[in-house]
Amino acid sequence: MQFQTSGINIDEAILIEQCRQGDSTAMETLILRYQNRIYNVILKMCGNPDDAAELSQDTFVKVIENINKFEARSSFYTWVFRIAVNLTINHCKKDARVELRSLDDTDDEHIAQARQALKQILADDSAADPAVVAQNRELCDVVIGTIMKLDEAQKAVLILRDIEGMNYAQIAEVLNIELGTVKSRLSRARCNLREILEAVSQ
Amino acid sequence: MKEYPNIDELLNGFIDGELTARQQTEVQRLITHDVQVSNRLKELKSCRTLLGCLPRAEAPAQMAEDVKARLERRMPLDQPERSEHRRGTKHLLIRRILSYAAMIGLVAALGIVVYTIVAPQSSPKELIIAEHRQKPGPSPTVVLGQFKGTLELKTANLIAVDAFIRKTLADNNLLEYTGPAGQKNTYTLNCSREIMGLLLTDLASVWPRLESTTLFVKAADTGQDVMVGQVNTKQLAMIINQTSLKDSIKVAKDFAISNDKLLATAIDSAKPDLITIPKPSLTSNHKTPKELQPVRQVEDEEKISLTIIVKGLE
Repeated sequence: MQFQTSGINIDEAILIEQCRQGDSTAMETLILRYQNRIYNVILKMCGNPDDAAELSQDTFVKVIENINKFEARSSFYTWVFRIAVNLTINHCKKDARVELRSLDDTDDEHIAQARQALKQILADDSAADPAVVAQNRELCDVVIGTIMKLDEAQKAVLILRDIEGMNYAQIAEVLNIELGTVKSRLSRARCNLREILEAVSQ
Repeated sequence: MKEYPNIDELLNGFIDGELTARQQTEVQRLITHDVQVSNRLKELKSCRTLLGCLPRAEAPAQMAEDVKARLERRMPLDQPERSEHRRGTKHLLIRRILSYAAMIGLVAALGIVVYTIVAPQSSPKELIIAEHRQKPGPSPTVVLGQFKGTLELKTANLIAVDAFIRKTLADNNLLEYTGPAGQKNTYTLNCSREIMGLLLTDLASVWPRLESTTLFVKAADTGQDVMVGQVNTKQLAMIINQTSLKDSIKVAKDFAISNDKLLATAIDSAKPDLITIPKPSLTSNHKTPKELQPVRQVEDEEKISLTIIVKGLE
Protein backbone atom coordinates (compact mmCIF):
# COMPACT_ATOMS: atom_id res chain seq x y z
CA MET A 1 0.00 0.00 0.00
CA GLN A 2 1.56 3.27 -1.12
CA PHE A 3 0.74 6.52 0.62
CA GLN A 4 1.58 10.00 -0.29
CA THR A 5 4.11 10.82 2.36
CA SER A 6 4.97 14.41 1.66
CA GLY A 7 2.49 17.21 1.84
CA ILE A 8 -1.25 16.59 1.99
CA ASN A 9 -3.21 15.32 -0.95
CA ILE A 10 -6.69 16.62 -1.61
CA ASP A 11 -8.35 13.46 -0.35
CA GLU A 12 -6.49 13.66 2.93
CA ALA A 13 -7.16 17.37 3.30
CA ILE A 14 -10.90 16.69 2.91
CA LEU A 15 -10.73 13.89 5.48
CA ILE A 16 -8.93 16.16 7.92
CA GLU A 17 -11.51 18.89 7.46
CA GLN A 18 -14.34 16.39 7.95
CA CYS A 19 -12.64 15.16 11.10
CA ARG A 20 -12.54 18.72 12.37
CA GLN A 21 -16.28 18.92 11.84
CA GLY A 22 -16.67 15.82 13.99
CA ASP A 23 -17.34 13.37 11.14
CA SER A 24 -16.76 9.91 12.64
CA THR A 25 -16.59 8.22 9.23
CA ALA A 26 -13.72 10.45 8.19
CA MET A 27 -11.99 9.72 11.48
CA GLU A 28 -12.34 6.01 10.89
CA THR A 29 -10.98 6.35 7.37
CA LEU A 30 -7.92 8.20 8.63
CA ILE A 31 -7.36 5.65 11.38
CA LEU A 32 -7.64 2.75 8.99
CA ARG A 33 -5.27 4.46 6.61
CA TYR A 34 -2.49 4.75 9.19
CA GLN A 35 -3.18 2.17 11.86
CA ASN A 36 -0.99 -0.66 10.54
CA ARG A 37 2.03 1.54 9.91
CA ILE A 38 1.70 3.24 13.26
CA TYR A 39 1.17 -0.02 15.09
CA ASN A 40 4.12 -1.65 13.32
CA VAL A 41 6.53 1.16 14.18
CA ILE A 42 5.36 1.32 17.78
CA LEU A 43 5.62 -2.44 18.17
CA LYS A 44 9.18 -2.46 16.85
CA MET A 45 10.05 0.33 19.25
CA CYS A 46 8.44 -1.02 22.41
CA GLY A 47 8.48 -4.75 21.64
CA ASN A 48 5.18 -5.52 23.38
CA PRO A 49 2.00 -6.09 21.29
CA ASP A 50 -0.38 -5.00 24.07
CA ASP A 51 1.58 -1.85 24.75
CA ALA A 52 1.80 -1.22 21.02
CA ALA A 53 -1.98 -1.52 20.65
CA GLU A 54 -2.56 0.80 23.59
CA LEU A 55 -0.04 3.33 22.34
CA SER A 56 -1.54 3.20 18.85
CA GLN A 57 -4.95 3.99 20.27
CA ASP A 58 -3.46 6.81 22.33
CA THR A 59 -1.86 8.15 19.18
CA PHE A 60 -5.11 8.26 17.22
CA VAL A 61 -7.07 9.70 20.13
CA LYS A 62 -4.48 12.45 20.41
CA VAL A 63 -4.50 12.98 16.65
CA ILE A 64 -8.29 13.41 16.54
CA GLU A 65 -8.39 15.59 19.65
CA ASN A 66 -5.67 17.86 18.34
CA ILE A 67 -6.58 17.84 14.69
CA ASN A 68 -7.67 21.49 14.98
CA LYS A 69 -4.11 22.35 15.93
CA PHE A 70 -2.68 20.70 12.81
CA GLU A 71 -1.64 23.64 10.64
CA ALA A 72 -0.37 21.65 7.64
CA ARG A 73 3.10 23.15 8.01
CA SER A 74 4.37 19.56 7.96
CA SER A 75 2.71 16.65 6.24
CA PHE A 76 -0.10 14.92 8.08
CA TYR A 77 1.86 11.70 7.76
CA THR A 78 4.89 13.02 9.65
CA TRP A 79 2.64 14.81 12.16
CA VAL A 80 0.89 11.54 13.04
CA PHE A 81 4.20 9.71 13.32
CA ARG A 82 5.65 12.45 15.50
CA ILE A 83 2.82 11.94 17.97
CA ALA A 84 3.23 8.17 17.85
CA VAL A 85 7.02 8.22 18.28
CA ASN A 86 6.90 10.77 21.11
CA LEU A 87 4.27 8.75 22.98
CA THR A 88 6.27 5.57 22.50
CA ILE A 89 9.59 7.07 23.56
CA ASN A 90 7.97 8.49 26.69
CA HIS A 91 6.36 5.15 27.41
CA CYS A 92 9.63 3.27 26.94
CA LYS A 93 11.46 5.69 29.21
CA LYS A 94 8.82 5.32 31.91
CA ASP A 95 8.35 1.61 31.60
CA ALA A 96 11.57 -0.09 30.64
CA ARG A 97 10.11 -3.58 30.85
CA VAL A 98 10.32 -5.26 27.47
CA GLU A 99 8.88 -8.66 27.10
CA LEU A 100 11.27 -10.47 24.90
CA ARG A 101 12.46 -13.95 24.74
CA SER A 102 15.91 -14.08 26.20
CA LEU A 103 18.49 -15.16 23.73
CA ASP A 104 20.53 -16.92 26.34
CA ASP A 105 18.02 -18.70 28.51
CA THR A 106 17.39 -21.61 26.20
CA ASP A 107 19.35 -23.96 24.04
CA ASP A 108 16.35 -24.60 21.93
CA GLU A 109 17.09 -26.01 18.51
CA HIS A 110 15.13 -23.18 16.86
CA ILE A 111 17.24 -20.56 18.55
CA ALA A 112 20.38 -22.28 17.39
CA GLN A 113 19.01 -22.33 13.87
CA ALA A 114 18.12 -18.66 14.12
CA ARG A 115 21.63 -17.82 15.21
CA GLN A 116 23.02 -19.78 12.34
CA ALA A 117 20.77 -18.02 9.86
CA LEU A 118 21.75 -14.68 11.33
CA LYS A 119 25.43 -15.54 10.97
CA GLN A 120 24.95 -16.35 7.31
CA ILE A 121 23.06 -13.15 6.64
CA LEU A 122 25.69 -11.06 8.35
CA ALA A 123 28.42 -12.80 6.40
CA ASP A 124 26.68 -12.49 3.06
CA ASP A 125 24.06 -9.87 2.36
CA SER A 126 22.61 -11.90 -0.50
CA ALA A 127 21.60 -14.64 2.00
CA ALA A 128 18.87 -12.38 3.42
CA ASP A 129 15.75 -13.46 1.61
CA PRO A 130 12.86 -11.39 2.99
CA ALA A 131 10.43 -14.28 2.70
CA VAL A 132 12.72 -16.67 4.53
CA VAL A 133 13.56 -14.17 7.26
CA ALA A 134 9.88 -13.35 7.80
CA GLN A 135 9.04 -17.05 8.21
CA ASN A 136 11.83 -17.58 10.72
CA ARG A 137 10.08 -16.29 13.83
CA GLU A 138 13.04 -16.97 16.08
CA LEU A 139 15.31 -14.99 13.78
CA CYS A 140 12.87 -12.11 13.81
CA ASP A 141 12.75 -12.21 17.59
CA VAL A 142 16.54 -12.14 17.75
CA VAL A 143 16.68 -9.09 15.47
CA ILE A 144 13.91 -7.29 17.33
CA GLY A 145 15.60 -8.11 20.62
CA THR A 146 18.78 -6.58 19.25
CA ILE A 147 16.96 -3.41 18.26
CA MET A 148 15.66 -3.17 21.83
CA LYS A 149 19.22 -3.00 23.09
CA LEU A 150 19.77 0.31 21.30
CA ASP A 151 19.01 3.56 23.05
CA GLU A 152 15.67 5.22 22.28
CA ALA A 153 17.07 7.89 19.98
CA GLN A 154 19.02 5.46 17.79
CA LYS A 155 16.17 2.97 17.83
CA ALA A 156 13.68 5.57 16.57
CA VAL A 157 15.90 6.68 13.67
CA LEU A 158 16.67 3.11 12.66
CA ILE A 159 13.04 1.97 12.72
CA LEU A 160 11.73 5.02 10.87
CA ARG A 161 14.37 4.54 8.18
CA ASP A 162 14.73 0.77 7.77
CA ILE A 163 11.28 -0.42 8.80
CA GLU A 164 8.96 2.48 7.98
CA GLY A 165 11.07 3.56 5.00
CA MET A 166 11.12 7.28 5.66
CA ASN A 167 13.73 9.46 4.03
CA TYR A 168 16.14 11.49 6.14
CA ALA A 169 14.12 14.72 5.83
CA GLN A 170 10.97 13.03 7.07
CA ILE A 171 12.84 11.46 9.99
CA ALA A 172 14.23 14.87 10.90
CA GLU A 173 10.69 16.28 10.82
CA VAL A 174 9.19 13.48 12.91
CA LEU A 175 11.91 13.58 15.55
CA ASN A 176 12.32 17.36 15.31
CA ILE A 177 16.08 17.11 14.85
CA GLU A 178 18.59 18.37 12.29
CA LEU A 179 19.30 16.43 9.12
CA GLY A 180 22.95 16.05 10.16
CA THR A 181 21.81 14.53 13.44
CA VAL A 182 19.72 12.01 11.54
CA LYS A 183 22.76 10.97 9.50
CA SER A 184 25.11 10.61 12.45
CA ARG A 185 22.50 8.93 14.64
CA LEU A 186 21.57 6.44 11.91
CA SER A 187 25.24 5.69 11.27
CA ARG A 188 25.86 4.97 14.95
CA ALA A 189 22.65 2.94 15.19
CA ARG A 190 23.57 0.66 12.29
CA CYS A 191 27.11 0.29 13.57
CA ASN A 192 25.90 -0.66 17.07
CA LEU A 193 23.24 -2.98 15.68
CA ARG A 194 25.83 -4.76 13.60
CA GLU A 195 28.08 -5.25 16.60
CA ILE A 196 25.27 -6.59 18.77
CA LEU A 197 24.02 -8.91 16.03
CA GLU A 198 27.54 -10.30 15.52
CA ALA A 199 27.81 -10.90 19.25
CA VAL A 200 24.44 -12.64 19.36
CA SER A 201 25.18 -14.82 16.35
CA GLN A 202 28.32 -16.27 17.96
CA MET B 1 39.25 4.57 4.07
CA LYS B 2 41.26 6.61 6.55
CA GLU B 3 40.73 9.65 4.33
CA TYR B 4 37.08 9.69 5.34
CA PRO B 5 36.48 9.89 9.08
CA ASN B 6 32.73 9.77 8.45
CA ILE B 7 32.86 6.97 5.97
CA ASP B 8 30.00 5.14 7.70
CA GLU B 9 27.74 8.16 7.29
CA LEU B 10 28.72 8.38 3.66
CA LEU B 11 28.11 4.69 3.07
CA ASN B 12 24.78 4.78 4.87
CA GLY B 13 23.78 7.73 2.72
CA PHE B 14 24.80 5.70 -0.30
CA ILE B 15 22.69 2.74 0.82
CA ASP B 16 19.71 4.96 1.51
CA GLY B 17 20.04 6.96 -1.70
CA GLU B 18 20.55 10.21 0.20
CA LEU B 19 23.79 11.32 -1.46
CA THR B 20 24.29 13.89 -4.16
CA ALA B 21 25.41 12.68 -7.59
CA ARG B 22 28.95 13.79 -6.85
CA GLN B 23 29.04 11.97 -3.49
CA GLN B 24 27.63 8.84 -5.11
CA THR B 25 30.37 8.89 -7.75
CA GLU B 26 32.96 9.31 -5.04
CA VAL B 27 31.58 6.40 -3.00
CA GLN B 28 31.44 4.18 -6.08
CA ARG B 29 35.07 5.03 -6.79
CA LEU B 30 35.98 4.14 -3.20
CA ILE B 31 34.08 0.86 -3.34
CA THR B 32 35.88 -0.11 -6.53
CA HIS B 33 39.36 0.74 -5.29
CA ASP B 34 39.17 0.08 -1.55
CA VAL B 35 38.31 -3.42 -0.32
CA GLN B 36 37.78 -2.21 3.24
CA VAL B 37 35.19 0.27 2.12
CA SER B 38 33.54 -2.37 -0.01
CA ASN B 39 33.37 -4.80 2.93
CA ARG B 40 32.03 -2.11 5.24
CA LEU B 41 29.32 -1.29 2.75
CA LYS B 42 28.27 -4.95 2.71
CA GLU B 43 28.10 -5.06 6.50
CA LEU B 44 25.91 -2.01 6.69
CA LYS B 45 23.75 -3.21 3.84
CA SER B 46 23.16 -6.56 5.53
CA CYS B 47 21.87 -4.78 8.63
CA ARG B 48 19.49 -2.70 6.60
CA THR B 49 18.31 -5.71 4.64
CA LEU B 50 17.75 -7.68 7.81
CA LEU B 51 15.57 -4.98 9.31
CA GLY B 52 13.73 -4.54 6.04
CA CYS B 53 12.95 -8.26 6.02
CA LEU B 54 11.18 -8.18 9.34
CA PRO B 55 7.50 -8.96 8.95
CA ARG B 56 5.16 -5.98 9.18
CA ALA B 57 2.82 -6.37 12.09
CA GLU B 58 -0.80 -5.49 11.55
CA ALA B 59 -2.83 -3.51 13.99
CA PRO B 60 -5.59 -5.30 15.90
CA ALA B 61 -8.74 -5.42 13.79
CA GLN B 62 -10.85 -3.47 16.24
CA MET B 63 -8.34 -0.60 16.48
CA ALA B 64 -10.55 1.95 14.76
CA GLU B 65 -13.57 0.93 16.83
CA ASP B 66 -11.59 1.12 20.04
CA VAL B 67 -10.33 4.58 19.17
CA LYS B 68 -13.85 5.74 18.33
CA ALA B 69 -15.15 4.30 21.58
CA ARG B 70 -12.48 6.10 23.55
CA LEU B 71 -13.21 9.33 21.72
CA GLU B 72 -16.94 8.96 22.37
CA ARG B 73 -16.28 8.49 26.04
CA ARG B 74 -14.48 11.81 26.00
CA MET B 75 -16.82 13.63 23.63
CA PRO B 76 -19.86 12.43 21.65
CA LEU B 77 -19.12 12.25 17.95
CA ASP B 78 -21.33 13.39 15.06
CA GLN B 79 -22.74 16.14 17.23
CA PRO B 80 -22.01 19.80 17.00
CA GLU B 81 -21.40 19.86 20.74
CA ARG B 82 -17.70 20.30 20.18
CA SER B 83 -18.19 23.90 19.21
CA GLU B 84 -20.84 24.32 21.91
CA HIS B 85 -18.39 22.94 24.40
CA ARG B 86 -15.90 25.53 23.18
CA ARG B 87 -18.48 28.26 23.48
CA GLY B 88 -19.24 27.06 26.99
CA THR B 89 -15.57 27.17 27.87
CA LYS B 90 -15.30 30.67 26.44
CA HIS B 91 -18.36 31.79 28.35
CA LEU B 92 -16.96 30.32 31.54
CA LEU B 93 -13.66 32.07 30.94
CA ILE B 94 -15.40 35.43 30.44
CA ARG B 95 -17.41 34.89 33.61
CA ARG B 96 -14.26 34.10 35.52
CA ILE B 97 -12.51 37.20 34.21
CA LEU B 98 -15.51 39.36 35.13
CA SER B 99 -15.61 37.80 38.59
CA TYR B 100 -11.92 38.54 39.11
CA ALA B 101 -12.42 42.11 37.88
CA ALA B 102 -15.35 42.60 40.25
CA MET B 103 -13.32 41.20 43.13
CA ILE B 104 -10.43 43.52 42.35
CA GLY B 105 -12.86 46.47 42.18
CA LEU B 106 -14.38 45.56 45.54
CA VAL B 107 -10.99 45.18 47.16
CA ALA B 108 -9.94 48.57 45.75
CA ALA B 109 -13.11 50.24 47.06
CA LEU B 110 -12.64 48.61 50.45
CA GLY B 111 -9.04 49.76 50.46
CA ILE B 112 -10.10 53.35 49.80
CA VAL B 113 -12.67 53.19 52.61
CA VAL B 114 -10.15 51.72 55.03
CA TYR B 115 -7.55 54.28 54.00
CA THR B 116 -10.02 57.11 54.52
CA ILE B 117 -10.78 55.85 58.02
CA VAL B 118 -7.33 54.79 59.13
CA ALA B 119 -5.02 57.21 57.33
CA PRO B 120 -3.92 60.24 59.40
CA GLN B 121 -5.32 63.59 58.44
CA SER B 122 -2.92 65.86 56.70
CA SER B 123 -0.81 67.54 59.38
CA PRO B 124 -0.51 71.13 58.05
CA LYS B 125 -4.13 71.91 58.92
CA GLU B 126 -3.59 70.76 62.50
CA LEU B 127 -0.47 72.80 62.90
CA ILE B 128 -2.03 75.96 61.58
CA ILE B 129 -5.33 75.49 63.31
CA ALA B 130 -4.06 77.26 66.44
CA GLU B 131 -3.03 80.42 64.75
CA HIS B 132 -5.64 80.67 62.01
CA ARG B 133 -8.44 82.92 62.89
CA GLN B 134 -10.98 84.57 60.77
CA LYS B 135 -10.46 88.26 61.02
CA PRO B 136 -13.58 89.91 62.29
CA GLY B 137 -15.12 92.34 59.93
CA PRO B 138 -14.55 92.78 56.21
CA SER B 139 -11.39 91.12 54.99
CA PRO B 140 -9.13 93.14 52.73
CA THR B 141 -8.79 92.20 49.06
CA VAL B 142 -6.00 89.71 48.57
CA VAL B 143 -3.35 90.61 46.06
CA LEU B 144 -1.06 87.74 45.21
CA GLY B 145 2.51 88.52 46.12
CA GLN B 146 1.72 91.72 48.05
CA PHE B 147 1.94 91.76 51.81
CA LYS B 148 -1.28 92.91 53.39
CA GLY B 149 -1.83 92.89 57.09
CA THR B 150 -3.60 94.46 60.03
CA LEU B 151 -1.85 95.33 63.26
CA GLU B 152 -4.22 95.59 66.18
CA LEU B 153 -2.82 97.39 69.21
CA LYS B 154 -4.71 97.44 72.51
CA THR B 155 -3.72 99.78 75.26
CA ALA B 156 -5.03 101.20 78.51
CA ASN B 157 -3.74 104.63 77.46
CA LEU B 158 -5.56 104.96 74.18
CA ILE B 159 -5.18 108.73 73.78
CA ALA B 160 -1.48 108.81 74.58
CA VAL B 161 -0.59 105.84 72.45
CA ASP B 162 -2.67 107.06 69.53
CA ALA B 163 -1.04 110.46 69.76
CA PHE B 164 2.40 108.86 69.77
CA ILE B 165 1.63 106.82 66.72
CA ARG B 166 0.16 109.77 64.86
CA LYS B 167 3.25 111.81 65.73
CA THR B 168 5.62 109.05 64.60
CA LEU B 169 3.74 108.78 61.29
CA ALA B 170 3.95 112.49 60.87
CA ASP B 171 7.68 112.50 61.66
CA ASN B 172 8.17 109.88 58.97
CA ASN B 173 6.09 111.86 56.46
CA LEU B 174 3.66 108.99 56.34
CA LEU B 175 0.59 110.57 57.79
CA GLU B 176 -0.40 112.18 54.55
CA TYR B 177 -0.05 108.84 52.74
CA THR B 178 -2.26 106.88 55.04
CA GLY B 179 -5.35 105.71 53.28
CA PRO B 180 -8.82 106.83 54.19
CA ALA B 181 -9.26 105.57 57.68
CA GLY B 182 -13.01 105.55 57.87
CA GLN B 183 -12.60 104.77 61.51
CA LYS B 184 -11.07 106.62 64.34
CA ASN B 185 -7.56 105.52 65.46
CA THR B 186 -7.06 103.53 62.30
CA TYR B 187 -4.15 104.10 59.91
CA THR B 188 -3.76 102.33 56.61
CA LEU B 189 -0.22 102.54 55.28
CA ASN B 190 0.87 101.72 51.72
CA CYS B 191 4.61 102.00 51.54
CA SER B 192 7.82 100.14 50.87
CA ARG B 193 9.25 97.53 53.19
CA GLU B 194 12.18 99.76 53.90
CA ILE B 195 10.04 102.64 55.12
CA MET B 196 7.88 100.28 57.14
CA GLY B 197 11.00 98.93 58.79
CA LEU B 198 12.06 102.39 59.85
CA LEU B 199 8.60 103.17 61.14
CA LEU B 200 8.56 100.02 63.22
CA THR B 201 11.90 100.96 64.72
CA ASP B 202 10.43 104.25 65.81
CA LEU B 203 7.30 102.60 67.14
CA ALA B 204 9.26 100.14 69.27
CA SER B 205 9.32 102.59 72.18
CA VAL B 206 5.54 102.52 72.54
CA TRP B 207 5.39 98.73 72.75
CA PRO B 208 5.80 98.53 76.53
CA ARG B 209 2.64 100.60 76.91
CA LEU B 210 0.58 98.17 74.86
CA GLU B 211 -1.51 95.47 76.49
CA SER B 212 -1.76 93.34 73.38
CA THR B 213 -0.33 93.45 69.87
CA THR B 214 -1.89 91.25 67.26
CA LEU B 215 -0.96 90.97 63.60
CA PHE B 216 -3.32 89.53 61.01
CA VAL B 217 -1.69 88.55 57.73
CA LYS B 218 -3.83 87.61 54.77
CA ALA B 219 -2.75 84.27 53.28
CA ALA B 220 -3.47 84.40 49.55
CA ASP B 221 -3.45 80.58 49.11
CA THR B 222 -6.01 79.68 51.75
CA GLY B 223 -7.84 82.97 51.96
CA GLN B 224 -7.54 82.81 55.74
CA ASP B 225 -5.75 85.13 58.09
CA VAL B 226 -2.71 84.10 60.04
CA MET B 227 -2.95 85.63 63.49
CA VAL B 228 0.25 86.35 65.37
CA GLY B 229 -0.42 87.26 68.96
CA GLN B 230 1.92 89.37 71.11
CA VAL B 231 3.96 90.32 68.12
CA ASN B 232 6.86 92.71 68.68
CA THR B 233 8.38 95.19 66.27
CA LYS B 234 11.34 92.98 65.41
CA GLN B 235 9.02 90.13 64.52
CA LEU B 236 6.87 92.50 62.52
CA ALA B 237 9.90 93.72 60.61
CA MET B 238 10.99 90.18 59.94
CA ILE B 239 7.55 89.15 58.67
CA ILE B 240 7.31 92.19 56.43
CA ASN B 241 10.87 91.98 55.10
CA GLN B 242 10.47 88.54 53.56
CA THR B 243 11.05 88.52 49.82
CA SER B 244 7.66 86.96 49.07
CA LEU B 245 4.24 86.86 50.60
CA LYS B 246 4.56 83.10 50.95
CA ASP B 247 7.67 83.49 53.07
CA SER B 248 6.04 86.27 55.11
CA ILE B 249 3.14 83.96 55.91
CA LYS B 250 5.46 81.13 56.78
CA VAL B 251 7.40 83.31 59.20
CA ALA B 252 4.15 84.67 60.59
CA LYS B 253 2.95 81.14 61.28
CA ASP B 254 6.19 80.33 63.04
CA PHE B 255 5.84 83.40 65.25
CA ALA B 256 2.21 82.57 65.86
CA ILE B 257 3.28 79.26 67.31
CA SER B 258 6.29 80.56 69.21
CA ASN B 259 4.31 83.47 70.70
CA ASP B 260 1.53 81.24 71.86
CA LYS B 261 2.99 79.98 75.11
CA LEU B 262 0.60 77.10 75.60
CA LEU B 263 1.02 75.84 72.08
CA ALA B 264 4.77 76.32 72.15
CA THR B 265 4.99 74.35 75.39
CA ALA B 266 2.90 71.55 73.89
CA ILE B 267 5.01 71.41 70.74
CA ASP B 268 8.26 71.59 72.66
CA SER B 269 7.25 68.62 74.76
CA ALA B 270 6.03 66.67 71.73
CA LYS B 271 8.80 67.62 69.33
CA PRO B 272 12.01 68.56 71.01
CA ASP B 273 13.72 68.86 67.63
CA LEU B 274 11.44 71.58 66.39
CA ILE B 275 13.31 74.01 64.24
CA THR B 276 14.42 77.03 66.21
CA ILE B 277 13.11 80.21 64.77
CA PRO B 278 15.94 82.64 64.30
CA LYS B 279 15.63 85.95 65.99
CA PRO B 280 14.31 88.57 63.66
CA SER B 281 16.69 91.27 62.59
CA LEU B 282 16.10 94.39 60.67
CA THR B 283 17.83 94.40 57.38
CA SER B 284 17.05 97.90 56.29
CA ASN B 285 19.65 100.66 56.34
CA HIS B 286 18.83 103.50 58.59
CA LYS B 287 18.00 106.29 56.27
CA THR B 288 16.14 109.20 57.62
CA PRO B 289 12.64 109.68 56.30
CA LYS B 290 13.71 112.94 54.70
CA GLU B 291 16.13 111.10 52.45
CA LEU B 292 13.46 108.72 51.30
CA GLN B 293 11.67 108.96 48.04
CA PRO B 294 7.96 109.57 48.13
CA VAL B 295 5.91 106.46 48.72
CA ARG B 296 4.15 106.81 45.39
CA GLN B 297 7.44 106.15 43.61
CA VAL B 298 7.67 102.67 45.10
CA GLU B 299 7.01 99.92 42.60
CA ASP B 300 3.65 98.30 43.07
CA GLU B 301 5.07 94.85 43.61
CA GLU B 302 7.35 96.14 46.38
CA LYS B 303 4.54 97.91 48.21
CA ILE B 304 3.13 96.52 51.39
CA SER B 305 -0.10 97.41 53.08
CA LEU B 306 -0.41 97.57 56.83
CA THR B 307 -3.43 98.83 58.72
CA ILE B 308 -2.73 99.88 62.27
CA ILE B 309 -5.73 99.90 64.58
CA VAL B 310 -5.31 101.39 68.03
CA LYS B 311 -7.92 100.26 70.54
CA GLY B 312 -8.56 100.92 74.13
CA LEU B 313 -9.30 98.17 76.64
CA GLU B 314 -12.96 97.28 76.87
